[in-house]
Amino acid sequence: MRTVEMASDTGSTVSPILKIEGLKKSYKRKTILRGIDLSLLPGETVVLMGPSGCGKSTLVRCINRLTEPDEGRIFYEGRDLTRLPAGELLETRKRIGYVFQHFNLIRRLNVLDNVVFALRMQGMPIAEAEKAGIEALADVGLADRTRDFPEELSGGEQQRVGIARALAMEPALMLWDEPTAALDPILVGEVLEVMERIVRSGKTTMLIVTHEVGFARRAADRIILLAGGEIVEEGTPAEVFSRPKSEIGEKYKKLLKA
Amino acid sequence: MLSISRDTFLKDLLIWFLLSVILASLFAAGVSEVADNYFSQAVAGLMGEVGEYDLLFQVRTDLQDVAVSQIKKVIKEKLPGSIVKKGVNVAGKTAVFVGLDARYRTKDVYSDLDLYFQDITGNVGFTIMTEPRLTLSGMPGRVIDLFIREAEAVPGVKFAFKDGGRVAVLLESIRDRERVQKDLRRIIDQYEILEVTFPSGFEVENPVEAGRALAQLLAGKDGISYIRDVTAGESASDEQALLITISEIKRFLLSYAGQVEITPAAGSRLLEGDLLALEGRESNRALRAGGALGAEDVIVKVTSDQGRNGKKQGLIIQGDASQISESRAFLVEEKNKVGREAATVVVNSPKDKLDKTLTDSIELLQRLHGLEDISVEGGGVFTAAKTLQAALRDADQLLSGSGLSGAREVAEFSHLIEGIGGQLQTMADTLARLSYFENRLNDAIAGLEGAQVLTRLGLIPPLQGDLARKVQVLDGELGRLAEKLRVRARILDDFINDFNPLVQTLLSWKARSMELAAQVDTIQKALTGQSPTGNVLAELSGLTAESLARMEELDLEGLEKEYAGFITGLEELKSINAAGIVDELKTVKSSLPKLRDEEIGRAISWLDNYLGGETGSRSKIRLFVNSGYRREGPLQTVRGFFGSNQVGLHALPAAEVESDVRNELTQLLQEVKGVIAAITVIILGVLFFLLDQTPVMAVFHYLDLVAPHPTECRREAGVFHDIWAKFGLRENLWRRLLPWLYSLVLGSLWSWLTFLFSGAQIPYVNGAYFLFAGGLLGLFFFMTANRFHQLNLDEVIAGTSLGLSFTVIMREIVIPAGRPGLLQFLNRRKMVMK
Repeated sequence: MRTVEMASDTGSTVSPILKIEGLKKSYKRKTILRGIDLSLLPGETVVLMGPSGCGKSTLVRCINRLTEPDEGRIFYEGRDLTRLPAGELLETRKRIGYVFQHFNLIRRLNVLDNVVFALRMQGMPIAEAEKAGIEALADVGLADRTRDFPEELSGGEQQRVGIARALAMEPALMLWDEPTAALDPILVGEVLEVMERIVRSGKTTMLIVTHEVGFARRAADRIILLAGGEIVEEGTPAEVFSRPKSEIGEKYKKLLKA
Repeated sequence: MLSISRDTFLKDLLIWFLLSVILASLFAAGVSEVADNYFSQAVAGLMGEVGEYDLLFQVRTDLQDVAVSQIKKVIKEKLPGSIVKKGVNVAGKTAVFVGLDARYRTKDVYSDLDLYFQDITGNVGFTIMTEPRLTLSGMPGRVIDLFIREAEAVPGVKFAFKDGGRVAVLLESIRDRERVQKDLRRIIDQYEILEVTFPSGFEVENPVEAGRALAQLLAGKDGISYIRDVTAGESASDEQALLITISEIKRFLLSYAGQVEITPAAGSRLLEGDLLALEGRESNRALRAGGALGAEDVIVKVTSDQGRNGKKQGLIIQGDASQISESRAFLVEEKNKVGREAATVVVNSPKDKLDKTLTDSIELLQRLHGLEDISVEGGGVFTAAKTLQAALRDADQLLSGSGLSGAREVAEFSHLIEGIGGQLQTMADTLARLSYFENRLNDAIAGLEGAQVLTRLGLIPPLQGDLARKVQVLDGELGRLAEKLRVRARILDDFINDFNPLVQTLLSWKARSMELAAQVDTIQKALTGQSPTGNVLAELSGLTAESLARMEELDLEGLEKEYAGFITGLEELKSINAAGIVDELKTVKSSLPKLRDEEIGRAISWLDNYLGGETGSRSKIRLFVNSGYRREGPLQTVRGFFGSNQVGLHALPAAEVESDVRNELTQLLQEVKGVIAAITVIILGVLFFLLDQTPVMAVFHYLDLVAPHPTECRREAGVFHDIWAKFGLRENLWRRLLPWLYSLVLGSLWSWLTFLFSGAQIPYVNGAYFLFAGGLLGLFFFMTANRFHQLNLDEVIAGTSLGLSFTVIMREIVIPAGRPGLLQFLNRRKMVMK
C-alpha cells in the first residue's frame, strides 16, 4: 500500500491523515470537481468555503465514497480509499464521522438509539454503547433528551444529535457538510457553539464545509476556497480574509467586514 | 453462494422467497378449495348427490304443484318406491327431481319413461340424469341401435338406451368410467361417416335413393365391409332433430296434399306465389276472366319454379282436389277477381298413398302371427353361408395343394364353383326376400308414424265420447309399436348389411374364378400334359384365399345369436294388442277422405313459417362405414357414380363420447377452481411484491451507494467478475443489469412456482406464460418501486456513512420503514434495534 508523508510546520515529517490527489467528478456532462489536490494533517481543522455549486459537498461526499469519484486518489491514514474492497471500506467509514446538512437521523429510533446505533451494530454491549452515547449527547448538551424521537426535536437539536452520533464513533476525521445550512438563524448559533467546542477540544481532524465566515475565522486552522471545481485559494484565516488573492476571497473579506 | 450460507440479507430474501411461495400456494389452494366446496355443494343442492336422482323435470312454476302431484301419481302407479323432490325456480321453471327406486333402473323402464310422463301438466320436458353415465352423441339416427348393442357388450356397462338422438350408457360403477370411455371411443373409432358433398348448383333429385344405391355400390370394395346409408333419419342435435322431424312432417303432408302440376299457357309467365283459380265442381257458375271468385272454386298457389319443360308445381290452398271440375286455370287478381286464363293443371292426389300405407300397416299387424317364415328365411342364409364356407375351404385346399395340374382337378374345381354359385344364388335370393320384408316393415312404420302425426296434428275428424282418451291411447300405442318395429327393422337391416358385402365379394370371386378356370381349361386342352400358366393359378389361388379370409371374418355364430334375438323380438310383438291398434288404424283410414287439401295446405304454410326456409341436410348423402378402408377408392367410386369430379367425400367421426352433466360440471368446477387459485395467486403476488419487495427494489436503484463498487477495486469485488469477463462484458454492465435480473428472475420463479404448487390454472395458458407474466410483474415493480415505497434515502446515506453493511442497512433501516408484510415479520427476528 502506498503511503504519503508531508512536512509539518515544525519541520518534522508528519503523515497527513487525509490526502487527495487529482480528484475529479462529473455528473453527466457537468464537471463538478476538476482535479482537487488537498491534504489534512492530524488534528487540523480545515474549513472549505465557496459559492453554491462549486463542488464543496461533492468533495466531502467523495472522501468517504458516498459519491464515487471518477478519477484521482484519496488516501486516508495512508490507504487509498478508491481501491479498498467493500469490507475494508466499511471499516474505514466507521473511523470517519460525517455530519449532514439535513441531519439524516433515523426517524424510528429515539435520540439515544440514533447515537448508539452504529456502536451497537459493531457489536458493542448495550450498556457500554449507551454510556458512550450519553457522553456524546452530553457533549452536545442533549443528555436530557435521550428518549425523545427526532420529530420531537428542533432543527438545531436534531443536528446536535447528528453531531453526537458522529462523535460517539470517536472518529479520527470528521466531515461536516454544511451543518447549519438547513437551520434558521436562531438555531445556527447553538450548533456553531457545539462545533467550536469540539474544535477546541482538538480530539479530531475536521474538514468543514460552511458558509459561516465568522465561525471559519475563529475555528479554522486553514481555509480553502473552492470555485468552479478548483481550489482557488488556500491559507490561514488571516491570510485568506485579510489579504485575499482570489475574487471569491475578496467577497468573503467584504462579508466579514460587513 | 458463500454469502447465502452466511447470515446475510440475501439469505433473508431466500427464506422470504421460499416461505412466501409456500404460504401463497397454500392460501390460494385453500381459497380455491373453499370455493370448490361451495360450488360443489351448490351443485349437489341443484342436482342432488351423485346417483341420488335419475330424472330432472322442468315444469312451469305456476303449475308446479299440479305437476308434482301428477308426477307423484305416476310414480305411485308405475314406479312405486321412487322419490320426488322439488328443486329451485329459475326463469319461470321449477326443477323437479325424481330418484327411481333401484329396481326400476332398467332398460325397459328408461325406454318407456316418455310414455309414463307424457301427460304431466306444465311439464316442459325432462332429462335423464342417472349416474354414472356416459353419452354417445352425434351419430346418425339409423345406427343408434348398433351403438346400443356394441356399448352393452363393453364390460362395466349396465345397459344402454336411446335418449333422444343420443345413446345413454349407464355404468355399473363410477370407477369404470375411464375404462368404459376408452372402450366406447374404440368402438366409435371402428366406424366413420362418409359425407358426400356436392358443388354449388349440383342437384341430386333423390338423395335418399342415391344414398341407398351408393351404399350397395361401395359394399365389399376397398376394404368397406360394413356400410349403411344414413342419409335420412339423422339426429345430430335436438335442434336439428326437431328441424328434420318438422321437415319430415312437411314432407309427409306434402306427399299427402293435393299437389298440382301446372303447365303455363302459351305466352303466360307464372311466378312462385301466384294464385290460380280452378272451377269447383259445386260452383253454380263458370269461371271467366273479369268475373268474381266463388267460395266453391279451388285456388292453387304456385310453389315451385322447378318443374320440367317449363311446368310448375302448385298446392291447393282453397277447396279440395276432388272438387276440381276442369283443368283450365285462371290467374287470381286483386280483390278476388278472376284474371286471364294462364295454365292447365294436372292434379296428383296422393291421399291414396297414405291410404295404402295404412292398409299395409293393418295387413302387417294382422300378419304378426304369421311371421314364422322369417325365421326360416334367416336360417336359410346361415345354412347357405356355412355351405359356402366349406366349399371355399375345399377350393382353397385344392388350389394350394396339387393345383389344377390335371383335367380332373379342373373339373373338380369347376364343379365346386358351380356349387358355390348355386348356394350364392340361394343366399342372394333369401337376402332379397328379407330385404323385401324389411321394406314392408319400413312401410308399416311409415304408415304408423303417418297415423301418429295425424293424431298429433288433430287432423282426425272429431269422434264423440271418449275421443280425447282414445286418440291419446292410439298415439301412445302407435309410438310404442313403431319404435319396436323400427328396432326390428334395423336389426334386419344390420343383418342384411352384414351379409350383402360378403355376397358381393363372393359373386366377384365366382365370376373371376369361372373366367380363370376357363382359361386353365383352354391351356390344358392346347398343351396336353402341361401345367397351366403360373400367374393364372396364382391369381385364382389369391382370390380364393382372400374370399375365404373375408368369409372367416364374418362372425357367423355371433350373427346367429343376434338373429335369434330378432326372432324372439318378433315373437314378443305378438303380445301387442294388434287387434285394438288395427281397429284404431281403420278409424284413421276411414277418416282420411274427410281431410281437405286446403286444411293440409294451411298446415304446410304453418310449418313453412316455422322452418323459415330451412331444409334438412337434403343435399348431403351420408354413409356409415367401417374405418380402415382404403381412402382413395370410395372417392373415385362416388365421383364415378355421380359423374362429376367436383363431388367431395369427407370422413367424419361416427359419434362422440360425452360425460354426464355432473361430470361436465365437475370438470367446469375444476377449471373454476384453478382460475380462482390463479386469481388468488395474482392478488397475493401483487401484495407480496408491493409490501415486501418494493423496499428492496427501491434500494436496488441506489446499488452503488449501499454496495460501493468502484472500477479500481472490481477485481476484489466478487466471483462474478471473472465469469462476466469471459463473456467480454464490463463489470459495470453486470451491476447495472443485476437489479433488473433480480426482479425478472424473482417475479418469474415466484409466479411459476406458486401457480404450480397452488394448482392454479387458466384455460389455454401454460406454465411458460406464468414465467413470462411473473417476470413482467417483477420488472414492473422494480421500475415503479419508488412510487410504491418512499425510500428515505437520507437514512440510507446515514447508515452508509456510519460504515454499515448492506445487510444491516436493509435489516435496520429499509425494511422496518416499509409496509408490514412477511419480510418485515421475518426481519424482526434479525433486528438489533427493535
